[in-house]
Amino acid sequence: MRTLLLLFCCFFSIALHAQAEADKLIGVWEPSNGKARVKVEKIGAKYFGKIVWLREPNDPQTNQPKVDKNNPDESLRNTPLKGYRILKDFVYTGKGEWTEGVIYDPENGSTYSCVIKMKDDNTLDIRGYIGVKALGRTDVWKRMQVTGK
Amino acid sequence: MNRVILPLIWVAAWLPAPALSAQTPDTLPPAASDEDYSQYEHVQFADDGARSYCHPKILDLAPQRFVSIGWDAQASYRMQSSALGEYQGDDDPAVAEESDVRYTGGLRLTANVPVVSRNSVVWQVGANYWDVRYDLNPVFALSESAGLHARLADRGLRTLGLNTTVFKPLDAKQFLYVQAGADLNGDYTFSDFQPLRYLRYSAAVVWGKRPSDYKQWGIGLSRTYRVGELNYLPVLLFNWTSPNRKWGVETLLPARAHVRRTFSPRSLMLAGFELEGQSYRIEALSDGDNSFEIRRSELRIRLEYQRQIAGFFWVSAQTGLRNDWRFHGDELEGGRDFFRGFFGDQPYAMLNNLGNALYLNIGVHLVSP
Amino acid sequence: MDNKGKILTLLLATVLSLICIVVGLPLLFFSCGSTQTEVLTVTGIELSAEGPLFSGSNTAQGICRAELDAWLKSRGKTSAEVREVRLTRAQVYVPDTTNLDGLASVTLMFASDNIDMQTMGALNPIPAGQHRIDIPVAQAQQQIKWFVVQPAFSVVLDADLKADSDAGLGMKADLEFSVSIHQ
Repeated sequence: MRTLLLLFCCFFSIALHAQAEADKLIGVWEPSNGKARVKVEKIGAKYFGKIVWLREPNDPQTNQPKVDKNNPDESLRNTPLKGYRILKDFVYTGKGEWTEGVIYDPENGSTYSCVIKMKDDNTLDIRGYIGVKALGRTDVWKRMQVTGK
Repeated sequence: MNRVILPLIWVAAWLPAPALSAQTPDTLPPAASDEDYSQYEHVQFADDGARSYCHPKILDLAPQRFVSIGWDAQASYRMQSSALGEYQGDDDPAVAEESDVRYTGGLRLTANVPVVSRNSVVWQVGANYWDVRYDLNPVFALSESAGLHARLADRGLRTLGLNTTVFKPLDAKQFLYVQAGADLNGDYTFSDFQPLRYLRYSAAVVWGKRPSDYKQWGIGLSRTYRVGELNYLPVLLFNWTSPNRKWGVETLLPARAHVRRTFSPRSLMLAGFELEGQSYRIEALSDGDNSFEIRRSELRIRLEYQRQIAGFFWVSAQTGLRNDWRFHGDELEGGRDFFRGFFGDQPYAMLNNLGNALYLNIGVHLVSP
Repeated sequence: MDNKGKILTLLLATVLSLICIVVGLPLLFFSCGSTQTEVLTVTGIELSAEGPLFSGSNTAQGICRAELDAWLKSRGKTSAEVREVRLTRAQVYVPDTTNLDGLASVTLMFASDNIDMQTMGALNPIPAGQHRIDIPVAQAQQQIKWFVVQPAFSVVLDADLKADSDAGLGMKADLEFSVSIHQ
């Protein structure tokens, strides 16, 4: 009985630890170019990131809030960029790595396969690639802390 | 005891399920309820901020190609060659051999693979293979002619090269770009390969600034064969995109300069020129250790249309005028190249004159993110 | 091979090609079979986000239970016979008499643990004084069948609020799918 209880406790704590590790991705992150801030949240068992802040919120041409004007699907080109989900469908696969997701670049309307690796609690290596990981580019994102108004 | 343990195990098995396995929509967490968007203006880095580095590209540049398969063809023109001798570039020797060249062209394969591709450094390694075949109709050939035309018709010219480029951003605005390449050019075939000591090396270093997503410029120095023979030339990089993102300029002088019209992120047109050149060893005309090399350089004034076909696959079609810059021959003692520059008086071993020709180049490309 | 042999080979190749075309094309045509398209409607999907909410993009979520299996069973079909499903209409409305003037724009997505999230449509801006809005649906739709054949999937609505709201969001959605079924 004691052994079983011990096993149960071990299993439970490992599971909680795994969940806590996976949820470390949740938060607000800034890409290295500082042009946007992306909030990562969890829907179901997957992680999604949406733009919550833009350094240039308005399109200089129209002076209106930026929209996803480069989307390959013409019917979605009027979608506001603020609030846009650019990280989609990431699944935690252990060892500080989230895979199976995609990243969208609103500047050219391209969607890339993507893998996220957490270098430390406040640093992410985000690699967008096409087909194989070798054909890609890694950017470093840093965690942001909300300090209040 | 089982009445206690089994439910316990059952519970234990399911407790981590929401995090570790697929979660059914019924167990969705409550929707976000604290989205005060103004709060994201008042943030600070949780630790040290990521160092900002400038991006290698600016907005709307023609996409860089990972893999490219193309075919290049020139329309007919006339080729004239002198006999072997010693000539200055502006001499006008008697024509010893003349041909109507009906077709010049062949396959062009290039590949560039990123070895390291991070925001702090991009290092790529590439390879290229160009094949140029000649189909010509001899008009006449004097007995003292070297027989270059027949050799070109028989073997054509080939380029097999390796190159590497490093883009190193120094900070958010400045960058350094270093490129080096080694090319084996000549009339060799894969069964009759050219010795590697005839490799020709080129390199370039550019320091530049990228003040915004719409502009980057740089200055540098290159060791280049684009003018056909070895030369050391200054490099000027200037890329610019208009604020409305419809127009742009893509310039890397002296290699190329284009005006760009962007129709969408998936299609564009370029108008401008490219200077193409290499030094090709002709085995049959090389005496012993010496290397007889054709200093081929051509200015291509052109119009190019590029568009996405699917995903990261693009096609391009290019047409324009191929202008003969130089096609003279040099006899390199012991195969060692030399620097003539624009003002050197080392004699050429053969003077050739090529008529200008229309050309066409089409290609399929896997482009970079 | 002499000239006679070449001509015979050419003739034989031509005849074989013609046979392939005459026999193959009808086979190809009939093997595809015909399809019938029917409309599947799911109404009253509750989309909610708990308050207080702040101005900007907020996420309301709900569960869509299309019950495709039962719907197909009533037509004597199975999900294996479904060729394609497309979202043809998406309406979002508030259940009471208020209007949607508090929203600047909305983006509709489908999500599931087993299928990649898809943006299904967006409306920006939202016309004034509307109690019910039609969200123009995306032209590019993939894998919608796999959302609908599941017992349930998530409907995610990113709603851009013009101002802070203590009440949260409580909306409903009606979705209309066209289902192409092999005859």
